[in-house]
Amino acid sequence: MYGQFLGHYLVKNNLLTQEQLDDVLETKRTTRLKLGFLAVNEGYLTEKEANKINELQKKKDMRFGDIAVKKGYMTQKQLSELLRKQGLAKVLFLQIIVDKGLMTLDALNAAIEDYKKDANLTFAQYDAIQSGDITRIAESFLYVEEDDPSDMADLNGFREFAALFLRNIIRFISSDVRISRYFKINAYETKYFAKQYISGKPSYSVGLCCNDFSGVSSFAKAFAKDIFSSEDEDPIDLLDAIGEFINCVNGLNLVRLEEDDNDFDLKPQEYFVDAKIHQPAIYGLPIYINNIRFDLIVAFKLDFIVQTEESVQIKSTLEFEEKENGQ
Amino acid sequence: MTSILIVDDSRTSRRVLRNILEDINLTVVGEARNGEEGYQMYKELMPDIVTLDITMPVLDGIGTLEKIKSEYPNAKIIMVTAASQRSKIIEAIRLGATEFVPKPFEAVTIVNAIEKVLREPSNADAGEN
Repeated sequence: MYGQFLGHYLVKNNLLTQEQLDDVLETKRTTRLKLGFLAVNEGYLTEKEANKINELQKKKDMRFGDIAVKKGYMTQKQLSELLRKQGLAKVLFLQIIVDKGLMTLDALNAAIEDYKKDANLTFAQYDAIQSGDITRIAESFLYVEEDDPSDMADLNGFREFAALFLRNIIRFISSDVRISRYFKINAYETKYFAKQYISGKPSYSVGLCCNDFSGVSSFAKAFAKDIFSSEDEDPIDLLDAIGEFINCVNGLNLVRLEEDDNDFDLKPQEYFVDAKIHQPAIYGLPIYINNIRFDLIVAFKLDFIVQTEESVQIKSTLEFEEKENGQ
Repeated sequence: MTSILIVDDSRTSRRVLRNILEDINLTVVGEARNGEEGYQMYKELMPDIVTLDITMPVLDGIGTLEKIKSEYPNAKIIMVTAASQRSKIIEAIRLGATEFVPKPFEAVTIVNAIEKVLREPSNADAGEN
C-alpha cells in the first residue's frame, strides 16, 4: 500500500518511470510475507488453523490476525509482533528501489518529505499509509474535523463502508490500490456505473463508477476469472460482474449492521452506461486500482436517481438480456 | 444424472454456478433470470434441484420458494444469498428451505449443499403425504 501511494508520487514527479515502479511493486509483491505464513512459520498457528481462518474470512469481514486472537489461537502480543514484522513492507519497498539502483536513499528520503508536503498529508494519514492497514488508511482519508456535525453520522457510515469495500478489493481484485481525498457532491456523471440499493435502517445506495473501459474489464475479470476469456468485452456482462462484487460486499456489510438487530433488504443490482446520477448528498471516494480511477459512491436514505441519454436506455440486466434474446 | 435449474438475475452468478456444477458432472437443465421465470421453468422441467437467488427482480427468491413449495412440497431447493439477509433466511427456513449457499461461490460449499438436499427424505418417503 505504501508503495502505491509513494510510488505514484515518484512517477508523477519523474523520479521513477511507471515501468520501473511496476517492476519494483512486482518484486515487492513476490517477497511480501502474508500474516498467515508468518504465523505458521513462527509456530504460533498450525497450517490447519491458518486454513480454518482463511475459510472464516470468506464468511465474515474480519482480519486474519483478529480472528486468530478471537479464536484463542494466538495472543494479542504475538499478533503485534507479527504485524511489526509484516510492517517492514515500507522498508522493503524503499530497499528494492535502492537495490535496483533507481534512486539513492538520500534522494528517496528527500522525495518522501516532499510527498508529505505536496499531498498535504496529516501525520495520521502518513502514519496510516506507512502501516499499510487499509482500515486505518480509509479512516484517515475520510476524517474531516471541520465537517458539518449533521453530516457526521453519514460520513462515519461512509468511512466504515469504504474500509470494508477496500479490504474486499484487495482480497478479490488487486493489491495495487491507493485512494485520494473523499468528495461530497449532488450530481455526478460517469461512463460505466453499477449500483445496488439496500433498504433498512439505515437505507443506503452503493455504486462503483469508472470512465475507463479497460478498468471495468480488468476489474470484472479479476472478480469472475473463471467465466471470462480475454476476448470477452461485453460491457453489460462486465458490469454485471462488478454488480455481483458490490452485492457480496453489501452482504458482508449487513452481517455487521445486523448485529444491532436491524433488518435489511438487498435490492437487485443495476447497470448503466453514460449515467447522470443525482442525490442531495453523494459521498465519493476515488480508488485507483492498477492506476485506473474508480469512484466508490454512497448515498444514504435514498436510492440514486439515474438518468441516461435518451438514445442509451437504462441497462438493467433484465432489459439487456431481453434485448439479447430478441424479446 | 441429477438435473439442476439455476435461478439468478446475475449472468455472472449463473455462469460461475454452471461451471462449478458441470465440473462435478451435474446437468444444468435451465437458467432463469427471475423468480417468475424460474417458477415457470420448474413446472416445465421438473429438475431434481433448484438453486434460488434471494435477491431478484419481478419475483424474489422467497416468493419463488413459496410458490414452488406450495405446489410441489417435495421440491429440493438450495437458497443462494450474499453473506447476510437474516430475515430472509429465517423466512426461507419457515417456507421449507434447508440449504443456503453464500456468494461468492465456493465449489466445496455447493457440493456439500447438493449432497445434503439429495439425502433429504421427501414427504412421500416419510409417509407424510
